[in-house]
Amino acid sequence: MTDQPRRDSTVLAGAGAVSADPVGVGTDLNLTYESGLELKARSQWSYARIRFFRHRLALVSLAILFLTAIVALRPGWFAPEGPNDQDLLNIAAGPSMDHLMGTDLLGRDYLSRVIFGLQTSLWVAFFVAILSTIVGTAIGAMAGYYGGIVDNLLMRFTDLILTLPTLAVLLAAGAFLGQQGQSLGPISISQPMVIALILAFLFWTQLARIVRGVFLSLREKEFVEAAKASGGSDSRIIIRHILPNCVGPIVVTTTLVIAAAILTEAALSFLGFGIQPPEPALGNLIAEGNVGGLGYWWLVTFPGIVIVIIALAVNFIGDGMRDALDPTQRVRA
Amino acid sequence: MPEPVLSIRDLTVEFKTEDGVVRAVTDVTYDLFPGETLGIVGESGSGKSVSVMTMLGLVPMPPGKLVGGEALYKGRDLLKIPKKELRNIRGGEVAMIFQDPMTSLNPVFKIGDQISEALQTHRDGLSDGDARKKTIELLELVGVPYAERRYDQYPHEFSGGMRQRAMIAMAIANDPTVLIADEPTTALDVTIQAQIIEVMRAAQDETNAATILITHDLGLVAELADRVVVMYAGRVVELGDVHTIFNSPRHPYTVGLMNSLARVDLDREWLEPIPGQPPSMISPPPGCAFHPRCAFSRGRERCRTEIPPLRGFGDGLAHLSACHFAEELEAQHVTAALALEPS
Amino acid sequence: MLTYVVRRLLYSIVVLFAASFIIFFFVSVSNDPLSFLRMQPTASEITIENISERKHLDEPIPVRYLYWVQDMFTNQFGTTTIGDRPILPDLTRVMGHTLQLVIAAELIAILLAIGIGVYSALRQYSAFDYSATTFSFVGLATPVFWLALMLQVLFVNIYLWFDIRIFYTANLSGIDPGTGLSFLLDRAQHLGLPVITLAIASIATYSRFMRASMLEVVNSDYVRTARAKGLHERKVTMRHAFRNALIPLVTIIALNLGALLSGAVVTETVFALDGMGFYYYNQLLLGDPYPVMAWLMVVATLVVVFNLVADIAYGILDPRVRYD
Repeated sequence: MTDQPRRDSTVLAGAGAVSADPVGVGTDLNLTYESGLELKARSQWSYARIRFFRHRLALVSLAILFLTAIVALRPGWFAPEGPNDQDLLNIAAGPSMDHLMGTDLLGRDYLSRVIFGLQTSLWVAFFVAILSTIVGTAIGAMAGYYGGIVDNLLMRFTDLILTLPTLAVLLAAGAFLGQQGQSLGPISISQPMVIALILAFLFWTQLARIVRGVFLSLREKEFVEAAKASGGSDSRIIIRHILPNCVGPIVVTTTLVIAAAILTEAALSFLGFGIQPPEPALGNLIAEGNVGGLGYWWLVTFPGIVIVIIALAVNFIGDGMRDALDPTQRVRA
Repeated sequence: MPEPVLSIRDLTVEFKTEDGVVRAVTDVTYDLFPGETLGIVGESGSGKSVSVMTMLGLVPMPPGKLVGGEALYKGRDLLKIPKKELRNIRGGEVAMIFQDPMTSLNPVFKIGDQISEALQTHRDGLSDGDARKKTIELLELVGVPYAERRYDQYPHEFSGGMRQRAMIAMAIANDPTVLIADEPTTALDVTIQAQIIEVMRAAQDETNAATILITHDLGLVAELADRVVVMYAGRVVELGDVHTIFNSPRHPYTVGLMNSLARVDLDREWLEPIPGQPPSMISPPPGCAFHPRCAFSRGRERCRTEIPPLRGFGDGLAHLSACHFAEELEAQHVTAALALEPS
Repeated sequence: MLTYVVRRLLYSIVVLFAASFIIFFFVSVSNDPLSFLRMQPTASEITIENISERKHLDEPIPVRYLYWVQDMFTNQFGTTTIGDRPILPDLTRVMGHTLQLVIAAELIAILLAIGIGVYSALRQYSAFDYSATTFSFVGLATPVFWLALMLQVLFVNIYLWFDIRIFYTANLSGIDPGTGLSFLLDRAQHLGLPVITLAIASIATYSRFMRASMLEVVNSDYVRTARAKGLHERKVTMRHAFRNALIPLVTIIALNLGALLSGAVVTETVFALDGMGFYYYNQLLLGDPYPVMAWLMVVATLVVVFNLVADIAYGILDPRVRYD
């Protein structure tokens, strides 16, 4: 893994400088051997940066996602009206200059509703991504590092989850567990948070498998043996020595989980087993819009377009990340 | 001198890569005469196999791009003839053995069927039964035991050495006039290498094909080749018969190669590596591409500015070298001179 | 091979039981299956108590689970909580409709995706390749339910503007569809939009996969060998490259079955199609754990069987695979 991102350079630039920078420190070295024989030694990260920035779609997507995130952080600044303010003169009006996305059946400005819905949906998606990444990494690392029974239990549990149709199970969980907020002793969990927890519960398995794979292949390597021989504790070896080698796959998988979480949450909320009104989310906005029938096309169309744009942007970023960080997984294009 | 069966003339090929355009071979010229074995030697990335791959239309274009040159086989330029004619020659009169037998056979087809396919492609109306019979004969010829049974096995049931034997059988199936072996032993264990060299010899005897042997292994060249082409950074830097190249090389790079070779006939304390790294193919050094690594070029302006042309030496000028100062190179003396590390 | 299949099936049974218990636990722990009924003013206290007794709702969850297991084996998944309606007959009826939908959608999707993927790989960076890649990316980013809605909006508007009615609502059990050609036409008009929806989602996944796998194979050493033999380019592609590129697709298609049946929940609900997915949705709305459990068990079993079929198909396509 450490050497992989340099493969192109070794062949093409004749960079024999691979040995000059074996751990990938953050600086660029410039070794001038003789005239015409410039060997540019770049660190792993600068190669990753270069690759990512070459990916123009990923850059545009990053900008879009960044803007969306700002809007979602402070919806009040961007929404022209409050999410529940009614304009009784314009009930169920189509898109116009006054209401860019029209108004809903109660005369509420739909753009504002979509912006507040975006806040909930994005928040849930990021929460799912972070939580499932932590859980998946921890479980994968332990399974791969310790092997044996721990590993066995994890893999059996993963098999179990793979056997189940994810969305159907999530719908059941949403229907039976997630209709209202829950409280665990003194901690009260809001309803969207319950949905996020349910999603995270099924979304960590893929990452766990990937991290486990890296750990399995690295735990026998010399540098791990050396760290053990010099008295490093298990947690130190896991965190300091092996985990940095998984950063690429972890970042890529996390990005893709965000997209999956947005799409899945939307489906759940649309069917009424995800985020419950009056809390607006992109999925339940579409469901509300659909109640009035297909004549009110804007109520169904606009939140959907927002979902597609976000999911598209996240997928492009994931693609760029994979090119940049994980060239071994890249299909030679 | 007899007519060459194959002549490569001024072949130049480029590749478009993520980092810029790479000129893989520049003005490569050499001949292959009937019945002889021509060794092409060089480091990885020196363009050894690009010339033959281009000739056979096996270089994907793009990213590859033919800039110029010709490849004359029996007077016809293989780079210009229609695809259909090239297909008839490829695998028929001109056949190829590849480097890695582990990946060069299709994993989902039986070994025997893959060889029979080569036969049936070039012989119209050859029945399945006859193809099978002929394939089994070929497998026996290259030393695959129980050929009858192994015909129906898949590549993963063959060892590396056995797979390379199968590849050789496939290559000689249609009695080729020209046989091209691209690093045929590199991917194999040392003990297996010796066996494969024997099989190569037997295959040559059987078909009497003129052979191009592409390798970085000078030992293999000494063993099998009649003449040698030395390549560096996409250019031919030296060309001559195997004795001349080994005994009185006229290019500092060849000298360096000889010095880095373990030889039993010379009493040497240690092996001399060539200092430095192969050059960047995107921005090759100006002048002679080898000069940054060449102790012989110290302080000589010409090496840095002027690309040396190939010049003839010896009997009938058959020994070619692309060094400005080839005259000064006398093998027995330069060995000591080159032992100096570049500052 | 036979021992492999038997061992896999035995193992799957264990997995299915473990899964069923976990799901049973979660659907039972925080939910009162009678809450829907309690809200009905017509439901008497006695009715509710009767149901409660029949379903052993006052027992602890593990005991209820065991009753459920017993019901599953001796009584074909038992009955619904409300109405005491046998579950299995309903489930088999809707399953037929869903199978028509899923099989039609998958056949279309697989054929088109293979074509698109192979052609994209062979003409890499062509206009076709870029269009296919764009389609695939957008397809993967589009929620299935929204796609279904958009198709409805589109065809409803076509009807309103041009008075052309291409598709009908997906009421499969209503009017007699007739036989022969008229049956096929009727099905096509009723199932058309749901099939298109599901197929688009599948094509987006499969074509991208096929393209990647084909690209990898096209640049492989053995394809170069095939070319070096002098084979016609068509034979190189179709015989040597295609055959190998197909192998990973088999696994993806099999693994996608679970996702497909989940997708059917969304699609059938949008189109109000009387299939498994709509059935599941309605049972979730009622909050009745028993039909939900039955549905999940049937689907999980299908997934297990399909994975096994995929494994065997994989072994037929790829001689390197050993069953041990």
